[in-house]
Amino acid sequence: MAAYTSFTELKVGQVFPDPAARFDVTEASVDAYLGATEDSAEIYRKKDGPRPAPPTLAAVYMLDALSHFRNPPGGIHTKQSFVFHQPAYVGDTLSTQARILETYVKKGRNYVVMEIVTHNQKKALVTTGVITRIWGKEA
Amino acid sequence: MQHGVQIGDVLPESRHKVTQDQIDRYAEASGDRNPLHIDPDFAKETMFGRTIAHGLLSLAFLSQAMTAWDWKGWAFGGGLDVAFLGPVYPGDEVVVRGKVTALEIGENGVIAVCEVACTVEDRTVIAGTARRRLETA
Repeated sequence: MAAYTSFTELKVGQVFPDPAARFDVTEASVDAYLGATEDSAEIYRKKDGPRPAPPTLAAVYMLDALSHFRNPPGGIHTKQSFVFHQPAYVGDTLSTQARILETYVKKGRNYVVMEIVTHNQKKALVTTGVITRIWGKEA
Repeated sequence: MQHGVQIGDVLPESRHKVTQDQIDRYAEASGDRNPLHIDPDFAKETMFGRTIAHGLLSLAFLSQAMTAWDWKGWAFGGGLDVAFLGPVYPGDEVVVRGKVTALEIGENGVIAVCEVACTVEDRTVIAGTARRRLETA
């Protein structure tokens, strides 16, 4: 098996991973994200009742799905959209799948556009988004 | 208009100094260990010449501004649509700004559309829109 996924292996319409990537929203994962982003908002440290995660924790749990294909090192993010339908809470188990919407080459760079959809354990929609990445150079 | 938001309203500006230590911590927290962000030897051979911050780290700063403005309207039906226009290097200070440019009626009520940008000195590194759902009567 190749170490990285070739751009030519990416096919429009592909849905991955199957089954969906699971992500447990834990105190530790939220604390680590808050610490790394230096986010001091009290709402994400709530002790009485369900503790919400920052909406952009989506950047973390979508990665579990996107890592199904191994992007060669050096790839970068060029566009991102998210819709935050409802928060993820500590204790939730999220399921994320991605779908390739488009691939194209522009100015010698390989682009891939992917849609991501995340549900919680109650099958309720948490986050949807579209990500555009430049695929890393393959050795 | 019960939500009190008007076109032209400006979000409070916020500033975030980015360090390599923070980039390293973000890589650990997010699981995104792309060497472009954390390996100086790898990064110096790229077009950037040195490590750069994850674009999604700067996006987290934007989310913080929206949370401070109105968490409920951001977390329940809010969203964003942005382009990453330039790199953020260790040592840079990212400034987050936003301004309400439209009020739209959507399926779930009124949405405030904000033009948002993250800048480093005179460079825009992220630009696009963020949307906040407004409480309706």
